[in-house]
Amino acid sequence: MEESNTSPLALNGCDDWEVVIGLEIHAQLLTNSKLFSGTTTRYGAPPNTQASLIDLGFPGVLPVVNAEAVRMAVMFGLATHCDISRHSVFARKHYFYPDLPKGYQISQYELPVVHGGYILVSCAQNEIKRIGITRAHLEEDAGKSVHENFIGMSGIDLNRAGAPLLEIVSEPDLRSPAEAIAYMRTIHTLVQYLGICDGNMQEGSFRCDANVSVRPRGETRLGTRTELKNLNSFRFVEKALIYEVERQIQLLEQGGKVIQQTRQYDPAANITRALRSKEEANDYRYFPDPDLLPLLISEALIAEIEAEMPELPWDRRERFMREYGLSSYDSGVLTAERQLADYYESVVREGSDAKLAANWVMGDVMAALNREGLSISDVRIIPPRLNLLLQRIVDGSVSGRTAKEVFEIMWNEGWDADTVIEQRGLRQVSDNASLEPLIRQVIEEFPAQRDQYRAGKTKLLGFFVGKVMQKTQGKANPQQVNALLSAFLDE
Amino acid sequence: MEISSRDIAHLAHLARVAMDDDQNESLAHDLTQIMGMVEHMREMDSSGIEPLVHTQTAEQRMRADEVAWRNMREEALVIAPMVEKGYYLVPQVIGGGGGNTE
Repeated sequence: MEESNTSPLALNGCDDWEVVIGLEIHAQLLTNSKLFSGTTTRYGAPPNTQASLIDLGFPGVLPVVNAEAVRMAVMFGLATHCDISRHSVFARKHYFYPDLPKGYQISQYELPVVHGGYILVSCAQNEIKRIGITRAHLEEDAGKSVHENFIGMSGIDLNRAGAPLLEIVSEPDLRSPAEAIAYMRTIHTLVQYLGICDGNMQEGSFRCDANVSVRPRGETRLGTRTELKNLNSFRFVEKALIYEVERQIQLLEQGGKVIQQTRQYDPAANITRALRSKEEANDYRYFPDPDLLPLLISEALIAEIEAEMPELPWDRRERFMREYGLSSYDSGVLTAERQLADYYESVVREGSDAKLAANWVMGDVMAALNREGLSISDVRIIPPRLNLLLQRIVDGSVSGRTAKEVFEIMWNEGWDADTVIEQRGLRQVSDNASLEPLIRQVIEEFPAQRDQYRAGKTKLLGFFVGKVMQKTQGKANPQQVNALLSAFLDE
Repeated sequence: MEISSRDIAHLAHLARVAMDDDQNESLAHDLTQIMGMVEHMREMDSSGIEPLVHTQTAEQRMRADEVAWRNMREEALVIAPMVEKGYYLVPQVIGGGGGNTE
């Protein structure tokens, strides 16, 4: 894979040109069944085994809305300060593609279920930006086309056809690829906190289209935009946006014009390519779906959902700072994923010191997960066990350094901290009775160094500490060794 | 509002409907008439009237999120012209929707 030409200018915007980006995020809702049918939404089944007559668009069938999907859309709306439409309408969006069995997608057009909200996004230099949410609407997903395994043909798998999506449309408020990524991550975190989407980008549960334009700084009219389709990883979104921003700026600086068109990002070549221009742009001929009556959302339902809202990521971040005395950065890292925050909080509730636990979760735990490409749900050391290890640091049984060794053994072999410490003889020696003779012995072994130390070469203390640690195989408590050595050397 | 045979050709293309010139012309004529009626209706003062999206006054019923389905693959695949490895086969499509919703 080619390396990205990550220019800081394109990533953060540049002096002469203002970048304008709006994102359309598709989040697959975590329901058991599809948006309009009882078919399971389970991922990874053999092709076409999870497609019912409704999903296949057979004549004579009637779609019925999944109440849970509506609930989830309302939850999202409440979390993003949106208006919840008491009355919204499903519309047919027409286009022809082999993976769209009906020839139209049931979506929402004029009256989406939620609209007109915003979300606060932490951008670079801790700047908080308010990004407008134009709307979020319910729609059904299409199937999947497979191009690789068939010679000269494409294979169509309709398992995903009819899966519930929430399309979240932002205002064109994003001013750089970096801001776009920050916004996307914020939404990604939010939908997982709400439990309405698993956020799995590999499986396509969370994907994004981007509208991109540039304009001379100070200009108020928007430049001609292009739309980038189907960006399915944060890295690709960033690379595609950087490429596209640079392409447009170069084009305009050379006196050219941006053509309004849909473009696709090619990760292998790290470029965007035109798919179709405005002249060929689809005319979707939306109209209200006659199979579906207006969707009415009652005040009672909204109140019920509001009462059941989980703690939101930004609230949890604030609470971690307040309750656990963590820095804004540490709280941000720990609350970026709901499961990670849950893990951390369980360790603290087991009794660990909040800051020590934060350092260990962000340090050794996350390093071990990253090393093995695992997510926090695969963590090998459960909270009570991590707590026990941290207790052993605090009570002086092991030094911080030895604890890292214990952690690795726990991670790889699955023992609890006490077992590892006892079986491997890693307990820190911190009683003076056993350390004192050892330290006196070391001083006697090196009389020349002792005399030099006493003559003023106090740097030699480190030499003695090293010798003591050698003899105890690192198990001595370093502070204690230091204190005892200084005392005896000064005698 | 005049509906031209170009408009008809465009709509026919969007709907993937084949149409000969005679059909096109007769449709252009009919639709122009219909549009005339719509324009006439537009002269009515409809301010203060809620747009009607459905002739039924009932509201949409929702269903509980319960799984109820059976694997219909074999029954569904038999009506397709070409299938392989459990997939429907179609002439190669690259780009476009790319397997995702528009």
